[in-house]
Amino acid sequence: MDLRVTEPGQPKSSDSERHWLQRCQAGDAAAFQPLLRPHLAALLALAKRHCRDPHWAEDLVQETLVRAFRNLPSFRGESALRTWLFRILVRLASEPERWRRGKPAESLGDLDVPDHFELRAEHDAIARELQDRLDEAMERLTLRQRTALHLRAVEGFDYEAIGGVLACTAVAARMHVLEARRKVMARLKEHLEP
Amino acid sequence: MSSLRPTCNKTDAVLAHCLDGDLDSDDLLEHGYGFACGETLQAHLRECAVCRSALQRARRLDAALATAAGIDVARHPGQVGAGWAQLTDRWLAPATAASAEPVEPPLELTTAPSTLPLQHRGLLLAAAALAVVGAMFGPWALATRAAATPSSHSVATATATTTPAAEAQATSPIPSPQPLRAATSTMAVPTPSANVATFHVASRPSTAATRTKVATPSWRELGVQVASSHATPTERMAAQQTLLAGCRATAPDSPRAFRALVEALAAAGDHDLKSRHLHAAMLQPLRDGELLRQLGASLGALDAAGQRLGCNELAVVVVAARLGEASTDRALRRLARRHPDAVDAIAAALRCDVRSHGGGRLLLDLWDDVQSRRSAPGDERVAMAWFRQQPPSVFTELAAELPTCRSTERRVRCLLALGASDDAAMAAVLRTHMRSSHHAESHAAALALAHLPVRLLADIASQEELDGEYLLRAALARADVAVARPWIAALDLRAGDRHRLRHGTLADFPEVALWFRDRGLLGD
Ligand SMILES: [Zn+2]
Repeated sequence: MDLRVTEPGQPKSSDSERHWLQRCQAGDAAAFQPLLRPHLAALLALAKRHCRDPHWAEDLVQETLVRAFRNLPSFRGESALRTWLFRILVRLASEPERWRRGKPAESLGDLDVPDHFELRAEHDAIARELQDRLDEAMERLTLRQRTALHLRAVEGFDYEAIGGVLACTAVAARMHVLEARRKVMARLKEHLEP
Repeated sequence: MSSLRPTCNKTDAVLAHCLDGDLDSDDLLEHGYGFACGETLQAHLRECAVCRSALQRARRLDAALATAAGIDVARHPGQVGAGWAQLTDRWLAPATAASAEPVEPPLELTTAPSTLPLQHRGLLLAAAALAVVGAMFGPWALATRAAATPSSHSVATATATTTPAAEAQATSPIPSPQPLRAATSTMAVPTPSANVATFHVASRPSTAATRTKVATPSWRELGVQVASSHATPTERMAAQQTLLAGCRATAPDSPRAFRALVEALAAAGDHDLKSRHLHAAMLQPLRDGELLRQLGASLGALDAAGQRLGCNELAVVVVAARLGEASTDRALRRLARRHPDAVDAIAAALRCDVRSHGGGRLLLDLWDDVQSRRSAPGDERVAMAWFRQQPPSVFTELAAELPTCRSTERRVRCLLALGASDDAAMAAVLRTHMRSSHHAESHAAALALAHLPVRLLADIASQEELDGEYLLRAALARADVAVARPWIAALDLRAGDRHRLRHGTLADFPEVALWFRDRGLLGD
């Protein structure tokens, strides 16, 4: 019986990442783009877990990048770059008043305006239902639980790396993952049945 | 129901172990939930249906989360191919902006030769500033189309003042573009063959000697030529070709060439059919990947917090609004969140009739965005003003959206916007919706109708049976059409109510309209 879905682990830095990082820390601003680009999709995915409004998710990513650029000289490589970036993002997500401007858009659920991403095939309808419920269930979690479960399920981070992002111990990270999973599974009920 | 689902106190440990690779779950063991080894775990799983089911569902959950992240990112606006690059550029650019070179002041203001006597210099600066303001705001400002003429005049004045010779001597920090071999003697319009020359020369370093000897059109001068209503279409296209060549990423001065191109296109007008077609044709190259990316990056840079939108920035906004690409429209909506005043510039830009489609939808989207970020309903008259003097295609688009739009709020905005039209067909659309059983819609349609030109309302008043329809009577009264004056007189309104009738908001309108139901027939 296969007991593992994915091998959890710590995010690792590649050689090219180390190269761009060194250049960046030596003051070469042009190295920032190649350094950060590989992490943007992951940052956006996590940001979208925290902001329903896609514009705000983008704002959150952008603000994360601004902070990352500013603080990069003090990044000592004790954790992986991605972990460090996630840490910035999660901290910002917990303090929206520091980066949000203007008022939130109404959530898409309250507003029956057709949105831009309607190009969905019909066979996705069931998956869509699951995703909607999943979004809703994830929204009800605490920031830490939501982050922990996302990092575990999407990024494959181990507890220690999750703890690195959430600034807590690996044991606490595990409790966040377990609690999050339990709550979401309870809300999703039959939608997760085969 | 899950509340009836049997539980097992080892489920957490099973999930931690199986999904998270949690092999030494010490504190779970302490609580008696752990497993000494994989074997006891397997044994438990064989026996315990609860844990097996939980594990299955948890795996499905993890998979769904991973899929959601993938789908979400893939479905994110702009996250396809070049769009993703553009989006990420937009994120990355402001982050590094702080350390980049400071943004240069507008080109026009720095070309003044420092050797000129002070008062001349002041004059030149004033003329140049005028040219900027005129060229930037003339064709698309809230003023009527006719206002574009003085502005193109001021461009010509400034060009005459800033002679090529003076510019060649200038110690301005902005160098002129690489000399064109084919255009050595005058600032004649570069021909397509000159563009080839540009390409060859551009890769070589220019020397100070050639720079002073050769009178070369600067990027700005080329831009003036592109926007000029006095130049022939061939001359304008040729000037644009040179600018385009200068915009290529490999060209040494591409940011400045690109800026000049954008400013020129922002200043170009649509005075007649020919200039409109020409303008539309000149926008076409900006849809090319590289230039579109540059435009997106420029828009993204404006997004950076705290930056004020000056002439240069507004030129980018104007060109993006007229381009009508999905990616630029999204960028504009994003920008408008940080800079609400950008909407006025976008509306103004769209008044120049060079965008083939999507202008109405963009304005409506912007209105939605603005409204959804407000806690209280905004004043719809501000947004209605965005639609004034828009080209007919904008209104056709709004009318087409009405039957398919599922949001009442958006339909109401659509109807209100139609009030800015001057087309009898749109008046008919509004009349139809005034009979809607949905009050919000019928009131919005009536209010919009009141904003139509009096000539259209007079037609309606002469054709229709007015007695039965109080909303129509209220609309005509609001518009102060002659036929409505006796009704208004019969109401014997106080000054405050008269003001509400003529200038009230949509929120006031239902109550005002009732005056014409309950009291309106007194005058007959
Ligand atoms: Zn069990």
